[in-house]
Amino acid sequence: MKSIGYNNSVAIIGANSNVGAQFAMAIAKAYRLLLIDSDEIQTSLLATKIKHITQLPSAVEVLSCSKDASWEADIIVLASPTFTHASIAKKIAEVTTCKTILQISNVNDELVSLQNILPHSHVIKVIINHSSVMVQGENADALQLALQLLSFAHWTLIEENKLT
Amino acid sequence: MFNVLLAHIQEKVNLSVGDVDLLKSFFIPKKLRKRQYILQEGDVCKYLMFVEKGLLRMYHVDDKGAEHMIQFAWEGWWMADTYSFLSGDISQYNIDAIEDAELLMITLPNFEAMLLQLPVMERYFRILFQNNIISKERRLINTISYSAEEKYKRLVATHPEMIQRIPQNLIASYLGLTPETLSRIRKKLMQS
Repeated sequence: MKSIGYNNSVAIIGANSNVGAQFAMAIAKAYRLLLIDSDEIQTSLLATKIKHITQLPSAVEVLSCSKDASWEADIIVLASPTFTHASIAKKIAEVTTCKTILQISNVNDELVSLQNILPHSHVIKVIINHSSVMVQGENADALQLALQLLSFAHWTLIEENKLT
Repeated sequence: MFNVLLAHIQEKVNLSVGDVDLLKSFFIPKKLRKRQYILQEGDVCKYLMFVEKGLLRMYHVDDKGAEHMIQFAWEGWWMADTYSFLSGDISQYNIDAIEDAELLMITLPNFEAMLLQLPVMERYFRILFQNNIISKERRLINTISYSAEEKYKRLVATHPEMIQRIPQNLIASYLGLTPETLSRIRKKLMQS
């Protein structure tokens, strides 16, 4: 029986956004990706492109349900517009206990804190300003994991902030 | 999502509503696809896993590439390389899913925090570990004392669901038999 190699799975919700696609392309060689977005045709095109680049046909999948993807994933990246984050967080709360969630936004976006909606998850805020990035979170291990992921994306870390 | 785990715990100890809420906060819910690994030889076993749905196997691969089944776990069973999980040393086992699975996983720091904050879980795990020791002793006796046919008969008697769900070649490996030997035994038992 041939088995699928174990890798951390990352669900990218809002994969078709600029930042979502960029992030997916950057980490695809190191992580198994589960891509979610409302336009599944566009998401499938992105998946095909990533498979072509990585030459790993089983490493990327398109899923239609953010809850199922978050259940399967070890790490969740919210790359959809920030106004959608709270409603997505409510939907995935049950399946993200003790998991790391990267909440990605641009510096000018209004960012709601998800930690109250996801009290048992490790929420890390990733705020992007052009090619620079600020990272904030409470859990040291989750912060470390976020930095590891971000290191693939060629963004310059300008601030790492452990909120207390 | 926690139905099977809660039923399993409450068969052995009592949990209050508050205990249940706290208990849930320690576990990572994880879906695993058929044939997907959750542990590979050479990695540290980071999780103690409870199977809510599906079927896992733990096995060792020898120098010649042959797989030796150590344990199976289906709904209501726990699975881990306990030594690697508790010591942080690398594992010599692989764990993957024979069927799509839904797991509840707990890390060692969370496991220890849970036992501190929910003393009733100390009792639950003491009972589990006692049962596990007995089961390991029985398996050892089966391995060293019984004929191939007797080993199979005892497995059918104690775990009939295993025979229904698990491929025959994996059961043969679990019993330390070749698939051909197991096939002969099954044929003989059916004829008799």
